[in-house]
Amino acid sequence: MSTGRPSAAAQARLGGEDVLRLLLPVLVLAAGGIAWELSVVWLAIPPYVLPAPHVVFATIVADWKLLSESLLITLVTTVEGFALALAGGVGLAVLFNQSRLIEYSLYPFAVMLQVTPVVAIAPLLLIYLSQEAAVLVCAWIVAFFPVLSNTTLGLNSVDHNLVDLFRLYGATRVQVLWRLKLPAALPYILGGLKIAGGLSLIGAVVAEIAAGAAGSGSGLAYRISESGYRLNIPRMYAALLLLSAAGVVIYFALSLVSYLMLRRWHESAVSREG
Amino acid sequence: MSPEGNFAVSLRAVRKSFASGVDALDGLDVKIWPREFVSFLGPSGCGKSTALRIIAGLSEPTSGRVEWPPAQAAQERSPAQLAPAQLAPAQPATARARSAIGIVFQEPTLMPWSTVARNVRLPLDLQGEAVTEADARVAAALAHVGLAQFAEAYPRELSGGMKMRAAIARALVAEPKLLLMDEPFAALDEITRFKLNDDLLALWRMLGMTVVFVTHSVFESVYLSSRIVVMTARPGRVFTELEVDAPYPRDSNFRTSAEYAAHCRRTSEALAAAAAIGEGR
Repeated sequence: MSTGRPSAAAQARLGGEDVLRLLLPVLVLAAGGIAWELSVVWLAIPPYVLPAPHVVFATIVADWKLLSESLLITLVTTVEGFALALAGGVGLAVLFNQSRLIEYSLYPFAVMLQVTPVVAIAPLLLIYLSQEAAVLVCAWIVAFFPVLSNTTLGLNSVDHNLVDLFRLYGATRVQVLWRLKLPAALPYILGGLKIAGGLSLIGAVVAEIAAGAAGSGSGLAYRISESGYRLNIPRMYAALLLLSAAGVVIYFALSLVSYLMLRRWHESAVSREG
Repeated sequence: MSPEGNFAVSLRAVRKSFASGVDALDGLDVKIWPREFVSFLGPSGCGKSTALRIIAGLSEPTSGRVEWPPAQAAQERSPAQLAPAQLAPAQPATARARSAIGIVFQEPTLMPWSTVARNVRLPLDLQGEAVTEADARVAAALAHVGLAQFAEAYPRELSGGMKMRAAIARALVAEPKLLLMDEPFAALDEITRFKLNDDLLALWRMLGMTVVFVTHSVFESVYLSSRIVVMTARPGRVFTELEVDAPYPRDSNFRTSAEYAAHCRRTSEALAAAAAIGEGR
């Protein structure tokens, strides 16, 4: 059966390119780290101004108990905010798709929620809600819009001939939604989710910073502002490093999910020969 | 054939104007007989695709009407009279009426996220066909178009011709009495198109359905059809109807015969005259 699957040689070549794509950023990171380390040593910069990378890593190890607890709290908020963004974004987009009136009535407010800076909303939310709830709402507000707008785009990007075909065979609205519109929108939804994962982390951090200024909280962002007050610069860096590591892991996890769901059929996830 | 009884479908004074002000069809009168292979041939913009969509019920005529034979209407009222081999029992009347029509578009229009087998099964899935029955019918439809080995392939893994075969299998799986085809082979290379022409004729003869085939190719319409409806453009209406009385089965010998050439010349002349009317307006 000669289908268009890549040959072994092409796969080996792609493998080589994959290695390069992983190796190059690692090399750049290592070079940057070494340059940083050497500058700190040569210029004798004190650790309370700029800690050397090895000091930051030593801090991560030494403060692991404290930092890992904070990391867990921030991650849980992020994942919860992300889950709510997924449900809210897709749910609202489906609702908009089913009813023009609802779309016209509500979409402008979704945009309004998106364009209002979350830093400005967070202090208000902290007045009305418990801190955990406020942080979660912030994560959701920032993360849900890309899911909503991408899903809306996807649901409207269905092949018109396929819509006709479903009509010809007397498909119900539910069948059209479930068998046609949602699968067609899947690549768009997954693209929105990739953005939402990172944004959910940002929303959680922003709210924690706002909450931290009010004197409560224990997420990673709170650790950063707390360490700032105490001039514990190495711990600020350690917490920052963990945050960006968390962001990178979230991005790769979502990319992997997206790849696994699309690899058999969507052009974005299919590697081509030649 | 009595005029009021035995036709497959009839378009009566069908007019279609779009909101843009374009009159796609104006006074289209065509009667399609059971088991015939009719081509709608005309210059682009003559509304032949629109006519097909109106037959399929995907578009409403602005005025005029589509008539179905009274026999079929009666069948819809009393399921007991249905031939069991043709249609599954206990389907709602509307779904049953629609399942009597299959359609193939110019693009294969497959769902890229589903395998070939799942794509072909779509009409049965939408009509709530039982799984075991559906599997057998999908396998039969795929065998008809020579795609049995590719049931589990995804559309993107198929060539253009194979995608079109899958689309034909999907149209056949619900065992339509009327198959509508909208320039299905226009985007294919000539070798593939000739092969699909032959396979389509074989399927048409084997399954005993009515085919309405839209094309802008004189040669394709003569090769395939028992009757050619030549249309004028803007507004689209029937210019003339030509019988192609060459016997079936037709094969590559027919394609190179003097008879085929004569039919093509006659059809080309009719098409040129129809186009001249369109331009004269």
